[in-house]
Amino acid sequence: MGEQLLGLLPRLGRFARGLTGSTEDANDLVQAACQRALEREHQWMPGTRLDSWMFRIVRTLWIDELRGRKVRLGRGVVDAEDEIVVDGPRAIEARLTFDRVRRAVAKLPEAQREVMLLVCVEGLSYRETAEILGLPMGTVMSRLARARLAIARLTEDNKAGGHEEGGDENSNVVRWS
Amino acid sequence: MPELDDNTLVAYVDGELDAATAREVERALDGSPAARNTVAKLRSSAALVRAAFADAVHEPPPPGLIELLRAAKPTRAPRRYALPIAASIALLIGIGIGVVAGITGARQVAPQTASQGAMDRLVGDVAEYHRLYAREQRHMVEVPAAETPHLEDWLGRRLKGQLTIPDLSAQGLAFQGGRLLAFDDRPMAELIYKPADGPPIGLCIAFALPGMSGAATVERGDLTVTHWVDNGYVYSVVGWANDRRIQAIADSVRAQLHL
Repeated sequence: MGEQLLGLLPRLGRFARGLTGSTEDANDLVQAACQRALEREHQWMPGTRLDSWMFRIVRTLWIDELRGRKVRLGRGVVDAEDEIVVDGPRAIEARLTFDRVRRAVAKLPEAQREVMLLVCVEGLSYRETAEILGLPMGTVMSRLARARLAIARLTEDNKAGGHEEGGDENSNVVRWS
Repeated sequence: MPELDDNTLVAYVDGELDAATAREVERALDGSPAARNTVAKLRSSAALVRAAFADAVHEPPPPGLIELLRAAKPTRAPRRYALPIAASIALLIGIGIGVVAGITGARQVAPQTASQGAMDRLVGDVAEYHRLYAREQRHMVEVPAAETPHLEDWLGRRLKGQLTIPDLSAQGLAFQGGRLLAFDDRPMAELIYKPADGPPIGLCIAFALPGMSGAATVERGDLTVTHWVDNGYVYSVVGWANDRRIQAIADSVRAQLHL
């Protein structure tokens, strides 16, 4: 199992980076997920996909961690917001960077973000994603559509050099919740 | 007539509809500019997010984790034969079609479709990356041309070959530098060149996937991409220029570059 997990580390790291929005949290999460996988190796059915099993573990641990933080801090997680830097007007114009896309992803509701990462970044099918997250296919589709349209709106605002929080004529296209 | 709601459209974009429904959606789209607009947004946002997280696979794993996993004892469970057998079948298939073993494992898709889909994906990724990075003034390249020896060594190592940066000054292009991207979870290098006046041209080099072959020039929006396969690598030249110009640059590259 150890050897197989080694091969999955890059993708697990990427998924964790997307979920948590921070390299440090992603490292802790991947570490914890690998430890849990080794402890529970007997629960994995040989012949089924190890990557799906690992994505599920990563995601479950992250949800637990978020719950824990909310209890400890009495509020949601604000990491992603903390990182936002205000650019000068010229810089804004020139920067439709991946960094910005990642920040836009970090702003999505948790439930939309995980679906988007599994389908768009990890290339899993709707069925595989539904199984990992324990959701009906219809829910996967609607969350995915909402997430994708939200990202399109956020990045278009950036392209126009506008604000990140909407406030233009498109802002009613996507409901944030 | 299918309903063109967002759920149907996203499934259409992702190829999750059955063929008959997809054809119906396609026909219905002809009559609905609003739905076509939504399709474009659903498509571009997916490419953007995929590209934005592509680099994350190159980040080093947490310290100590590799050692921990190496040290993990093999299980005592008796049903362990399934994977070694699958792995050796994958290896045999790999050797059988003459590719370096282990590039993607055994994918159970018809070779024609697989290579076509992979080429489409490559062209899409190359165009999307170029569109994003070419806008950048300060961060257009990761490592600038001034550090060419380091670039050749670094990207050459990632591509497991001897990389010599092609000189395209005969085409009026000055080398700017390069960056490391990813295609299909493996490293892809992009080298960036600029004409005296005009937008940058990119040269991408990635590991060819099994079944990829031939050469073609295609358009992606306002970008032109030409690609060819040579010795296990797939090369693409991308830029805001017409086919003839892009192909002339590609000819120059082909004459100089053999990894």
